Amino acid sequence: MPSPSSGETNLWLASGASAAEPRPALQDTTPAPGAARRLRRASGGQRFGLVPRIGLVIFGLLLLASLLAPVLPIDDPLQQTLSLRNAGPSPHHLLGTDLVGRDMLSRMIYGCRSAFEGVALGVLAMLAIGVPWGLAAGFFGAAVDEVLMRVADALLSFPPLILAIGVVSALGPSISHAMVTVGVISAPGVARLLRSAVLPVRNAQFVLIARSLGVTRLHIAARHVLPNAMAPVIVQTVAAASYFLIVEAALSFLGLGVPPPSSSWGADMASAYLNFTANPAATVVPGLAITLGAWSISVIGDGLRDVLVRA
Amino acid sequence: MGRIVLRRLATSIPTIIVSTILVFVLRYLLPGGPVQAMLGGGTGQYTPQQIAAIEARLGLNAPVLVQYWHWITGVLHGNLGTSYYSQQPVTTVIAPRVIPSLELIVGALVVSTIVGGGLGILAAVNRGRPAGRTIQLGTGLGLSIPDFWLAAVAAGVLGLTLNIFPAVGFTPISESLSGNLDTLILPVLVLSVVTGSFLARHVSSAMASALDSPYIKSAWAMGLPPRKIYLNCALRNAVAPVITFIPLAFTALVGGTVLVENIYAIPGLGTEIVSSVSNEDYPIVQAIVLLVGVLVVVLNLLADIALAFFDPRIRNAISE
Amino acid sequence: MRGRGAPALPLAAPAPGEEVLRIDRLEVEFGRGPVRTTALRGVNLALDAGRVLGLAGESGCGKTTSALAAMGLLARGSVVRGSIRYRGTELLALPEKELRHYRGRHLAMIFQETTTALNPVIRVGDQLMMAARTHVPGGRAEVRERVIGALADVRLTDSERVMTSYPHELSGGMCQRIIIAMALSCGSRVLFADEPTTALDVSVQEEILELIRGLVTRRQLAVLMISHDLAVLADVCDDLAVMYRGEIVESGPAATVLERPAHPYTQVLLDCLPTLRGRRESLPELPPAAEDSGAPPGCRYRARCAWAVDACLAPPPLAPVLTGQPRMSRCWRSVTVLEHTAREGGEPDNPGPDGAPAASDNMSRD
Repeated sequence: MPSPSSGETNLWLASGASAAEPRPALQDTTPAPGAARRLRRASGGQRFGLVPRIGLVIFGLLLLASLLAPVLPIDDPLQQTLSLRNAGPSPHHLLGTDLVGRDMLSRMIYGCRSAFEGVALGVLAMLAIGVPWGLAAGFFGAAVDEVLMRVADALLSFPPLILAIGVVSALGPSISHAMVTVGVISAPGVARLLRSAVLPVRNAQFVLIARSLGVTRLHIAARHVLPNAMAPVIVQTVAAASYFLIVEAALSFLGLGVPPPSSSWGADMASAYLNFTANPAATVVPGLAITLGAWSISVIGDGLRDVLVRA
Repeated sequence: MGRIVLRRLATSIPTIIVSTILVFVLRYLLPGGPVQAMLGGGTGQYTPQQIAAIEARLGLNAPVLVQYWHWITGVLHGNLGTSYYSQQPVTTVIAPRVIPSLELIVGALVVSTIVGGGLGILAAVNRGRPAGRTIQLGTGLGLSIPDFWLAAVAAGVLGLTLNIFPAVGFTPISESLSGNLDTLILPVLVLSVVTGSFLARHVSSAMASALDSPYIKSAWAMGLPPRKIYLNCALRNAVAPVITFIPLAFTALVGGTVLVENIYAIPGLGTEIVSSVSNEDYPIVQAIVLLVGVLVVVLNLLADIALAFFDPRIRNAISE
Repeated sequence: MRGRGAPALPLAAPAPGEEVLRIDRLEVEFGRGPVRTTALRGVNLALDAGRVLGLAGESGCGKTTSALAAMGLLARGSVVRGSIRYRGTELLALPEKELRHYRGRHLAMIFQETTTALNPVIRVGDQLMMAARTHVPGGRAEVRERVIGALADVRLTDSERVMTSYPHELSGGMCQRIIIAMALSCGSRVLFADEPTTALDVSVQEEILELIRGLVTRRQLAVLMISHDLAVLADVCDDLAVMYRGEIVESGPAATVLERPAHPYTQVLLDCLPTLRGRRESLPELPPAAEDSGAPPGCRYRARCAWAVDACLAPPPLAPVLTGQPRMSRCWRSVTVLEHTAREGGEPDNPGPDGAPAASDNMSRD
């Protein structure tokens, strides 16, 4: 047993009844092993919980639905059957029809595609802009960092929806305009994360040596910064994805996203809402789909956070 | 304290400037340039020389920086441009619409702070017990629901079907106070659900970690009455997240207000910006975006100052 | 809420040496089902006014749990059995509402945390006043005087500055003194000190221990000093109890227990203290503590004990080592241990190939 009178070990041992607490993880600045191995090994000590698993299943089903939509035995979502407007559920139309007689079920399934398309666009834009942004701010330091971070602050304080409306109004309504804008607006968040992952590494001994040997900053970024940053970036991205789904729906609701008559949960809600009393289901069902989608993604994010981020 | 205010101001001003630049840049995204937009689809009838002349008259062929300068000085003098659609000064168009939107936002902020804050405290005090767990579940749900869906369903069910509250329309406060409140209740409540849930979670985790801290343990050990412990000790530490929350909530509420105003047909800035988009009336869109952006930075500034006021540790850290 | 003393309790000061707190057969269990652990199994302790009782042992042995049980501060879901009497009142029989009146006013506890034990956003003076006014009757001015008096007792004479400061502006040692002053100004007679000096510099440790010692004498406090550091306990304790895995394994006057321990575990703890004189080849190693569940019956220290013999399969009781002395030990071979530890670096008496105990062991006790 180590000597009880040395200060450091005293602090460690002295917890008395709370000896079960693990030693706090020290800042790990040693070069990281391969990213995949690190992810597998890394654990905040918690397993992927039950609720996140449910979310994963739901998300998987939705994803499957959107990918398989063209081959599923459902009606054409654009086909209007005016004789059957606002019909309730029936064997042929499992979820009924909307105000112009289109099959709700197929519109929901195809709406899935738009939703995920929107999310994918947003995520791509966010990462494509945010990662280089953060890396640049971290590596080039000083003036570059200052300017980039000021812009980040300004962007972060903007209400995303308003800015998206502003940009879309100039460029014209389309899902790519809307979602790329939203992705760009969310990029500063990711940039911040990357920047704080770069800073501790930037001045580390092994980095200075590597650079003096001619290793490029890009290589250092890929090999040492990104693996460390991956966990929080993944968690942030998933959380953003959940938000993107809702924003896409909101913009489409306002007529600034997916142009009609394409299926989109948000746009369908907008047209259905005006006829609420005639067909309440047409408003409620798309909203449920949006809630389900957003919720499943966000609990997946919570589960990932518990697993990946060391407490 | 004064030093802190000055320092915060100093860091906020560049942010505001960058925001204005961002908004200004929006103009240049317009396909075909600003003139095209201003003239609507009717540019076909103008010869290129005439278009160039218009551009010169509007100062649009000066260097970008000069144009920015003209614009920003104009803004600071209260000149936000002229609406393409109605040919009226933007300020005249926007001014009457500010109050309804403000009513919504401030109302939602107040309700979500009080209800959300209260729920958060209850959740922290009742950690692990059924009451606390119910609140956690409820707030989780509240966070996931899209606000415009809730707005639509609430309007449809409570307004149109059950006729408890008016689903659409707005009675200005100048006409009738009770009528005003009547038309506001549904939209404010709907807006408060999401922000309230968010705040409840925020406060609950801040208060829970405050309750776990050593000084609370000492307070119990010294026999302080529970009410005092919760109110005096823990609550003071929960004030900080609430203050930080308000600018964040404002940011979120602005987006929500746009949607809610459109659903409930409230004549505020939200409906204005959407109709301006469909009318391709860019000066108005630009002005509203600018207004909101600057307001958020100002709110952040005020929140930071308030935070320094409440927490002596921050005060000391800053003055070093 | 001001000045609510504990109802129906004599407020007179205890006589020097009078027993103020008695813990009898205290058992504490945590958890439910598969994770149920027994933290304390039958602990007996007594605190007398004007004396310091030290409680030693390694992490997890139950020292803090004993104090928390007396204060009624154990986590929800703990099962507590036994008796804790404070000057005649059975504390375990009191509902929380009544027990609360005893905390601060009669029993106080201070912890290892120093600066963080005070609320960071409230001035020290306000915190002291808040605590004192909960327990002490009287107007603001009177209570304030009392608080300043308590600050003087802990040798913080610049009371104005201290009262208006925030905790993070003061040093760890000062904060610990302030907390002690808080207990004093509330009128506490019994102080549970859980590793109060562990987080402080060695020089400050000395000051605080000296301070506590002085207060014990002047104000006739009863102090339970919990520490894993025998050196700290040696400094300040009149009596000493050593705990191992929820039981007391040795107790008695501090000086005698430390000089001539009568339990193998105490000896090992002492061996771990480096000495300035003499050299050691290597520090004695303690094998890791065994798990609670599935432990074979018998002495709980058996698995790590260098003195263990077959007889140790029966759990030894806590019994006097030698008749007539206030020393107790939970070991069948305590007399042997005692004899050998008188020599420096006592080695276990070779028990012989079949584990027969030496003649001097008192195996006839039951």
